[in-house]
Amino acid sequence: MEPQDDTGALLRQARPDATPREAPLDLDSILRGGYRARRRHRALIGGAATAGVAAVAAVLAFSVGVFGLGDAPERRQEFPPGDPLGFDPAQAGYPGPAPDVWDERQPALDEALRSAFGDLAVDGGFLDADALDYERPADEEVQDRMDEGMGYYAALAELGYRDLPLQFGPWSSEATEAQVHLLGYVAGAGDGAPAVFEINALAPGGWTAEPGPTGTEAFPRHLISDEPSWTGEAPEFSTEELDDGRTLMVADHGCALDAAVVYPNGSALRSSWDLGCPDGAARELSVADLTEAMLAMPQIEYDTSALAPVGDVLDVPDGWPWDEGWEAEAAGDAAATFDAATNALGEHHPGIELLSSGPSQRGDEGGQVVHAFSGTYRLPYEDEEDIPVTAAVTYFLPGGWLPGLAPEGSGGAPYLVACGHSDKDDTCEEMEVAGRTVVTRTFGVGDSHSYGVLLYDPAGWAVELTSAYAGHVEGATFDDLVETVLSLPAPVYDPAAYAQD
Amino acid sequence: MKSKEQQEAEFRSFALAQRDALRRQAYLLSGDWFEADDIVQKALTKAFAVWRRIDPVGAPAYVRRIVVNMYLSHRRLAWVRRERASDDVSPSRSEHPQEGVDLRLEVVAALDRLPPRQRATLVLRYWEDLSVEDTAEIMGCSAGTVKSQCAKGLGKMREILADAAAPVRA
Repeated sequence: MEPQDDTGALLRQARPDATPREAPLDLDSILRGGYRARRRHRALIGGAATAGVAAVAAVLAFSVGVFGLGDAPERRQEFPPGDPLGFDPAQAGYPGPAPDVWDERQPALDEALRSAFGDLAVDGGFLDADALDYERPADEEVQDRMDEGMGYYAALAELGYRDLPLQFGPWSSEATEAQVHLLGYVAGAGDGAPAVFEINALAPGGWTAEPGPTGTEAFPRHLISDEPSWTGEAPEFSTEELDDGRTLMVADHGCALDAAVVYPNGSALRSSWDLGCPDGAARELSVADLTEAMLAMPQIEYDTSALAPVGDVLDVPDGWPWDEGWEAEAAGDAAATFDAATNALGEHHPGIELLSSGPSQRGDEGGQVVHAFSGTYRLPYEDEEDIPVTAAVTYFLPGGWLPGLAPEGSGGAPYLVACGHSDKDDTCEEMEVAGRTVVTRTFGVGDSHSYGVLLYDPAGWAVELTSAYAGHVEGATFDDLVETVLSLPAPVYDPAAYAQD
Repeated sequence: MKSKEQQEAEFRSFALAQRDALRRQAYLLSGDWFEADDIVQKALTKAFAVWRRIDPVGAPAYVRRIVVNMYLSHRRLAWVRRERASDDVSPSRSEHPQEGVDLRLEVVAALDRLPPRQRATLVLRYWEDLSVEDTAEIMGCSAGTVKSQCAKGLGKMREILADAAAPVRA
């Protein structure tokens, strides 16, 4: 029997020493923060109630227009243009996903979705008849969860009100190597159900109404394609400019329908419906019904204050496709790398001990990743609380990242280090040492400090050392750590295999 | 209804009495004293914001739940994810030298690779020694979910440890 076979016992044995270290508790600050939160809470509940009534009223009137009294919905709705941006929104994006805060529009938007697409989805066999029998939790329940530290959509998820059929959730998509994001909402058949349709509302920015391939590679993104996609044949594609300023596009692929509406405020709505392309299912939807539903949806107002031009798109070396076997393949190089690194570190810190090392892929499974060799060390020092000082050393092989410090306010990627991106009060510096770029990041809490030093070699690799300890440690000061990193040897890898044009 | 002064005094007593337990919990969840202090500071702030509505008897459990939620929120931040990349053992996870430290680091590294909710469930059950019911209350889920999360988490750790046995050097 291997030790890991009794994982529960092993886990209990691995419990770290959690004797709390002395740390100041700033109760005055906590009380001030609590009072601020109470004021925000009162303002929020008042505002949400007012906005909620108005929004529901608007949606109700709009629903009557769609399904009841015969007036064309577009005559009942207004589509005001957005404020001028001063730049081309197609070549722009948002710095990151929208914050998970109370979304006043969400209940009304869900109502609009259900009104416009509910019958169509059920009648066409995309949803079961009872799929839309769910109720939104009360605002008070949502707010209670948010008081416990959750965001708005996290609170809805906790209450079982997320990823339901025809329910909008926040959507974001990274573009230009994660320099910018596209934002909006997305709805589908619900968590666990076959993805037979998707409805995606897009905020202005990062996309073009010009038809083209709808993948995530191009920038700006295309809303809808007039080229073969669902099948080997091009769809029957139509574009219509409406009197109210909207543009409607429909692509009929025979076994699937795609549609998009571009609104005068620069936002858009698109949807895709699989009538049975891959599985031969007999789901039904006519172009006329889809058109009516798309045009029944309201124009959504978005906050575009953070929308900014992309500028010159950074030339980021391609990352590597995630590969299940890469770690095993690279284990030898990683071991040789840390043999050499340990020797070099021993010159500065005699007695240093390598605790673990190995290759790792940084990124999402199935996506583009960065290749790294990671190791952890115990340095031959103890800090002022008699705790051994440890350090992590990470080698980044070429591809998928850029050297230097991320621009202020950016989301970090494709850079390896960013300042001010977390809630820590960190300080970063970038310097040149003997023709090589060094970036440092430090932050502290009380007497404890955290240091990160990143060295970028012109050959295309980088190495990072991070450490944290309390008080002053002779031999492991900030300057010592910088000097240590400068002495680290190159990683062992095949430069030819990592070369890029 | 309690006066503002009474509320503040009651909360101060509560915070001082609970802070070590809360910091310990936050540390076991996050593996980082810096992050633990951040989490506790924010959790207590949120608790004071709704202090009037909290039943004093249930206050410790309520705030422990906030700590778990704050930890899960921190896990969602991209920067934190990058700082705790998949195979790294946190450099700030200070360990006292003792036998089996390497194995312990591997176990902790395997725990770090679990999804945040699974990791939190195992920490509460195995490191905090909470019952299934107490864990369920703090996690805001059913006892059955706690049991299934534990089973899945331990199974995943077993796989990771078995895989790591060969390539990971010490």
